[in-house]
Amino acid sequence: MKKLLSLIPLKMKITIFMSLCFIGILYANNNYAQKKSLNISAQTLTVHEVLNNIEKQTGYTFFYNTKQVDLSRKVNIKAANENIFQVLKKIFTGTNICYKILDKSIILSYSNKLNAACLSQQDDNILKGKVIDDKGVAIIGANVIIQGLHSGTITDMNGMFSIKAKKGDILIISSIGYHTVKINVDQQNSIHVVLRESIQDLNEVVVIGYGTVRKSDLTGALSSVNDKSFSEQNVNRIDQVLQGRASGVQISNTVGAPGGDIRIRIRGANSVLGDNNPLFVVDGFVGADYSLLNPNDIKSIEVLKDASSTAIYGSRGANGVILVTTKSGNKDGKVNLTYSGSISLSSLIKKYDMLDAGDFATLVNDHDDAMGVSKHTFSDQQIQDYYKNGGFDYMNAIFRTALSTQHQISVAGGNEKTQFRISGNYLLQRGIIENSSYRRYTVRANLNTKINDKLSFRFNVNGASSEGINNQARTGASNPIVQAMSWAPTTNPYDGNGGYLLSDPVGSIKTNPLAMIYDSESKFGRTFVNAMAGIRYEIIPGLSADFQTVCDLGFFNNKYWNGEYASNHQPSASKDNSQSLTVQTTTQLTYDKTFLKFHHINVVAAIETQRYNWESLSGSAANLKFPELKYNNLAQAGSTSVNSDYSMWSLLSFLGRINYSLMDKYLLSFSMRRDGSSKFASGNKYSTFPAGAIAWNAGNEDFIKNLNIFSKLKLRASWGLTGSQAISPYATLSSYDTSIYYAYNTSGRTNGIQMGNPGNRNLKWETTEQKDLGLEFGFFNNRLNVEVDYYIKNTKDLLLNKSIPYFLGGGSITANVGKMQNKGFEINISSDIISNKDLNWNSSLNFTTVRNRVTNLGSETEIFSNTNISGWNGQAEFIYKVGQPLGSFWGLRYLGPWQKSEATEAAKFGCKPGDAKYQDMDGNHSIDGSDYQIIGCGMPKYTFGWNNTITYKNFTLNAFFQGVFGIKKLNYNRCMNLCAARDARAATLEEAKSRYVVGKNENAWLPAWSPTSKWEPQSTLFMENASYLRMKNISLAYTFNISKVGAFKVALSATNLLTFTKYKGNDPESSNVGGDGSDIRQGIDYGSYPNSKNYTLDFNLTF
Amino acid sequence: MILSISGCSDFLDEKTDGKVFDNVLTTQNGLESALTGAYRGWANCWTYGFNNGWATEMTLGGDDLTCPPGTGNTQEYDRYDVKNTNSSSAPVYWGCYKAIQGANNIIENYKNCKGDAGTINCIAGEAYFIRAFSYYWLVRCHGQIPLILTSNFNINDITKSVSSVKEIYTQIEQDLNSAISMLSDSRRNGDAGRPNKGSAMAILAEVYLSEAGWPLKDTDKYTKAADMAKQVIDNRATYGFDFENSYDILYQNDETKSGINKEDLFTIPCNKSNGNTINAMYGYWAYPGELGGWDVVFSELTFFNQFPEGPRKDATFATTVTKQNGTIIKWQDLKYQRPYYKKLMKNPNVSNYYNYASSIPMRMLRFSQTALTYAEAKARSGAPDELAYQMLNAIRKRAGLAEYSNLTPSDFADKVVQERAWELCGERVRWFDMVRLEMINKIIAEKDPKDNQPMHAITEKNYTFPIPLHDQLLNSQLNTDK
Repeated sequence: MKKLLSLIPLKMKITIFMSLCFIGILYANNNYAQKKSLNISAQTLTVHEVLNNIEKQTGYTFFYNTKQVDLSRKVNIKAANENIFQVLKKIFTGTNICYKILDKSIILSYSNKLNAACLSQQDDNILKGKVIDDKGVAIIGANVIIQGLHSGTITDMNGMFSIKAKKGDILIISSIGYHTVKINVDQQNSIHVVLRESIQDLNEVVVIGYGTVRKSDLTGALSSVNDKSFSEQNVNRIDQVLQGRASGVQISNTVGAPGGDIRIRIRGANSVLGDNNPLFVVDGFVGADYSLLNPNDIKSIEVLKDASSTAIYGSRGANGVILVTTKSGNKDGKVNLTYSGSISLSSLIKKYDMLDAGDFATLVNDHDDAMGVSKHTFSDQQIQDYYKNGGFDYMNAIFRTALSTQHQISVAGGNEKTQFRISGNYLLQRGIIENSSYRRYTVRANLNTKINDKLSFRFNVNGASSEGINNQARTGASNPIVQAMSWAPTTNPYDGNGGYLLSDPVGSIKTNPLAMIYDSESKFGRTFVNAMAGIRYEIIPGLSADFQTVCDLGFFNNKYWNGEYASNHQPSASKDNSQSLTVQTTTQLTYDKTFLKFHHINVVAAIETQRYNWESLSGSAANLKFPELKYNNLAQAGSTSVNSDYSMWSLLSFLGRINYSLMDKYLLSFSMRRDGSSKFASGNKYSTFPAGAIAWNAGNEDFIKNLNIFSKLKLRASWGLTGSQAISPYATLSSYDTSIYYAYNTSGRTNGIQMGNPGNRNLKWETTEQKDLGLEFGFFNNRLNVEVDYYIKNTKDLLLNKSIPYFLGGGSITANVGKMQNKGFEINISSDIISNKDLNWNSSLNFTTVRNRVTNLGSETEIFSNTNISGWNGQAEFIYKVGQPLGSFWGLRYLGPWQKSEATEAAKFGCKPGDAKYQDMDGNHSIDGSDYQIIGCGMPKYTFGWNNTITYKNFTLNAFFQGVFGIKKLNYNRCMNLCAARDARAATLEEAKSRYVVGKNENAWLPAWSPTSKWEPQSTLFMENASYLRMKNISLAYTFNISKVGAFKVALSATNLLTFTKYKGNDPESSNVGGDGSDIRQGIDYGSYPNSKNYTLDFNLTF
Repeated sequence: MILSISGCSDFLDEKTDGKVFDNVLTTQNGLESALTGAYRGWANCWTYGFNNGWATEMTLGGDDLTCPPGTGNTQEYDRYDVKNTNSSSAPVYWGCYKAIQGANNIIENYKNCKGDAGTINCIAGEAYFIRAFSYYWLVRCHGQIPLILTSNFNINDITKSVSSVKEIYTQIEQDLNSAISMLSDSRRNGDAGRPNKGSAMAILAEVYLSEAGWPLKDTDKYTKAADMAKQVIDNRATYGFDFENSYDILYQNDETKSGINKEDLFTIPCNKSNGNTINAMYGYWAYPGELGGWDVVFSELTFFNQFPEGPRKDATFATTVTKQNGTIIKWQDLKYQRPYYKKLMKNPNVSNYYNYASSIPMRMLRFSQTALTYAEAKARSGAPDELAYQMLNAIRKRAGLAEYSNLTPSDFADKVVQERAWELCGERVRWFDMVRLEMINKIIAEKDPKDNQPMHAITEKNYTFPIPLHDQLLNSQLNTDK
């Protein structure tokens, strides 16, 4: 018998190979061919016409060699509700054409025998058989091959096959979606093979804490993202993968700078004080740094949301857990080389509308008049000159179109026993603000090997190094954007001697923005080496022991420099070097067994230890003798200082979990973790975090099946406790601040100590109790999936930094006070809207609501944040109040300008018409602290994501929208540059023209400039709706298949191309406060580094 | 793994290497470090203390100072309408209490400290001085305030109620007497920033003078004020104080030099050389915008116009300023058309004149003030003696003014108060004199109409400022407004 495949031309083989590669990814449904019915009205057609007709009706593609298949042969055909095989039989009976199904392809091939024989041949040495699934349904198109030989056949539409085999041969019977079966050929000449559905393929397996589970067996709420869903988008960090793709996950690029901070929240924020960032677990290493992970190394990401999933992480699970699994090598004996590269152009999304120099000068004079300053700042002649010649455009000077590049290479290979994958990544991102950039190198090697049937070993190592230059979240006046907005367009920033002008005589009172960019430097270096080794031993079938140890070594190298101009002639520099070492061990026993066919049990027990050590050495120098040496020669300075520090924490944990499923219908899970932490005083060190969940796969019940509506229906409910390590080490102790200096004379200085924040020995874990109710539906053979979750999270023993009055030294004390609640819905809908041979449209949509409120503050009703970002009037900007959400703004309510008709009333406040009018809460005719109230909330209520992938032949189009709604922002940039007071003494925004002007513009919303009026930054005057909908990504890719070489893909994409928002600032998404774990300070815009609009060209080559 | 389980009792121990705890206070080095931390309350640039424009802004109610119109928080002082939200009083208030916390810690611990007894005694004396001086500033600015005398944190103290002005002053007197008995005649280590016995006595004289006026009006204290001031004057050689002969030395403001002169009884020193101790704003808040300054304070017109001509006036005011490009501008041509305080600006002949940071000390008490305190207290507690005339006339003579003689006691006292205004203008003295002698309404009646006017009628309520909102929110008992 001639080898089947040799008849197919090479080009086609590659195509087949490619389609085989995709089979594992695309959903495979073997029954489709059998079920899909065809209708062809009676007529005479050519074979070609019939095949085209079938392609149209079914989405199947035919592969054949035109030399073998006579396409012009006429056939009489009629089909009424017949399946493909019945129709094909009609066409090819009596010919030499055999057919075989590979996913959505039907391969027609030439056989020596006539077709009738090809399907039901009966030779003496022919082994006949039937392949069925565990429900007794015939499996069509299963491969039947003889091990060691490359001969084989496929099963027909009845699941039948026949193959030439001799005694001692081993038959390998495989089909996509089923476990492969090996059979020793004995005396028999007829066999019956039952293939069991392979859960890995048919039922997606997902990673959960300390194990894996079939998605259908999941009892908890989990969002899963695999590499397929982001392969069409240019991503360089994990947050870009998650944003909008996982329901319940809110991601904001709070700092739009390259490598800048992000905020990731799963089901809202639980903690006021603590870190609300989710816990990242990369290949089992708990608490990994996601920013140094190359997204191309990611195989899958699982977001654990409900307590039954996260409680296994105990004291660190309260914010949700993100499990990342990295790719390993191939099992098929092949070695692949993949290269991808990209080049991006970034630019500012939106600019403020700034006054030109002439208008600016006019307005400065108007302001002088309004304030009763008789001497104008600008003469009429000067103003005319500015109108004629223009001024200096600071925005153009600091923003740029930036070019970024990324290169990525990976080699993966291996066989059944050993797999390896090695990858390297280089990223250079330039920021849209001049002189800001981020560079990252990563190298990863993953190795897995089976030493024998029972023992396997794995070793992953990831090395990463990054350096960010001027990419941090700079706050307020020290931000170049703030200064570029505030420096007068009438002021030339250069001093004429090659330097920068030190101070602006008209506008800002702070540093020249160009000096901040070019004469100042902040470099953040991070180098991490993470090595993981694990060994697994199967003690008896079903019971395995696993030991894994991870060593994570981090080097931090931060450098700062302020040159002559940025420092006002007091150049200074500093360098901080620190290193951290985290060692984790996990010893785990897993037992997985099916009893009596119906009972499936999975038990996990583990002990985990983690220890973190950190030490630092830093030096700083002031009055550098040679400023150009920057931080590289600190000794050459007027004065220097050194400092060193040490800190540590350790965690010891015992954990266990039982998952039980009955008949794949009734699922039960229970887990428990007991954590001990060094951060607490003895007596409070240990705490236990239990969780449980039940689920009902109603879709597997006959009475639901009989409805013929659902292809999946699952109901699940869970409950559990998780904790938060919201306190930093040593919070239970009262230690001194040691970086205290005082000058006893004009030349020296002396180091001293000051009492720090008082410790609180009674601190204990902050505990979050979470209840979750979930419903999963699948329709139309799972082409439409809907997942709905409702959750309530109650956090008790809420850790808060309670402000201490100044009269007791100020600062704060950490205490367990109060309770907080988060509740909300998550809806995730995904669908293969169009799915046929050439055109596919997959769309997934998720929508999340979060309602956060403080439910209890112990003996108090309100607590104030200890922050003031503006630095203008020193008031707390946020309040925690029972019944109100976290992130509630504390301020005055602006009521518009005082109107002419209200002159008498205004006078009681010392105001006149046009002056700003604020709500006088206590009616004392004085606007002071007693009139402050909650004026909005900076936490989003709704988030939305909609991802679409449309493929047409070799084209792939991805369109991804993301939105955030129900969020307010205080825009200090606007305040600063409209009020013509404070740090920017003149208004620079075009909007200033719309202010109240007595006798000229009395219908204004903005108040007048007046000596009796106050433009309060912390008021609704500058509160804006920061909701937005954004086209996060749109990309078009084309794949070329080049014979004998591989595949080449080219993609053009754009991120942040369109933004729909009412927000007046540069970017509603970025925030002045970076991605630090705490949520108490979000929603303020005072010089945030805005996100950019990017155009990217991607190349991807696979060999 | 096995190791970590077997040793799990110590695996979870918190290792505190690198942290400093209370036990260091039993050593002399520890006590010395804590003292430095206490002083730091007065000078933590950008955060709290006196080395910024804040404290001077708080005294804008005096007729010596004014600010541009429409400058939010700042003008609240100038217009006698200070809110609890004011951003300038909070950092000074906080800094004083931070210094008090540090001082309390030393006072509670010095007796158990091992080391050189003399030095330890002196450290404690400085701590008493820090506590007294801080409370003296607080009580004059805010009136009734919480009296905190321990550094041990007790969560219940958050709701502590205020003490009466009388109680605060009693404590201040007691602390200054302790300081006087413990400090030595000269500044320890020769440091410009430390007080000596004479400094403590001179502050005590000021305290008595304040107690004699509003609100306590304990007029018996005039005698004590005079006696105490006299002791400083009589022993000035011992303490190293005296009049300087020339104003040029007084307001030289040359940061390249030591910064203090014989007349400085007590200063908060500054050193801009390190980021952490950039604690000099001597230049920019008192500089005109034309020089890159921030226009926070400058002279009131009436005050300047009535200021007697002479070397003192020339040394006090910058009537012309020179821009970076060499252009000279007369005060009438400046944007705000007011003379600026030369004594609050840097020496134009020294480098870094156009720089917001400087190493010029913040002058808290000068010998000429003690001299005038003696003169006034002596007159108000009986009649001016020869020493009183001598003191007043020494200052007038140096200013190029005629000497006084044969005045009635009350006339003499009034002349001294006026002399204090001129001599100490811009040095945060005039406002408190106007309050203690209840002469605000009389004086502001002469305000130039071009200067900021009071927001409303001025009552005793406006003689002090509300406790900052930060603390009122945490302790409702501090909201005396309600």
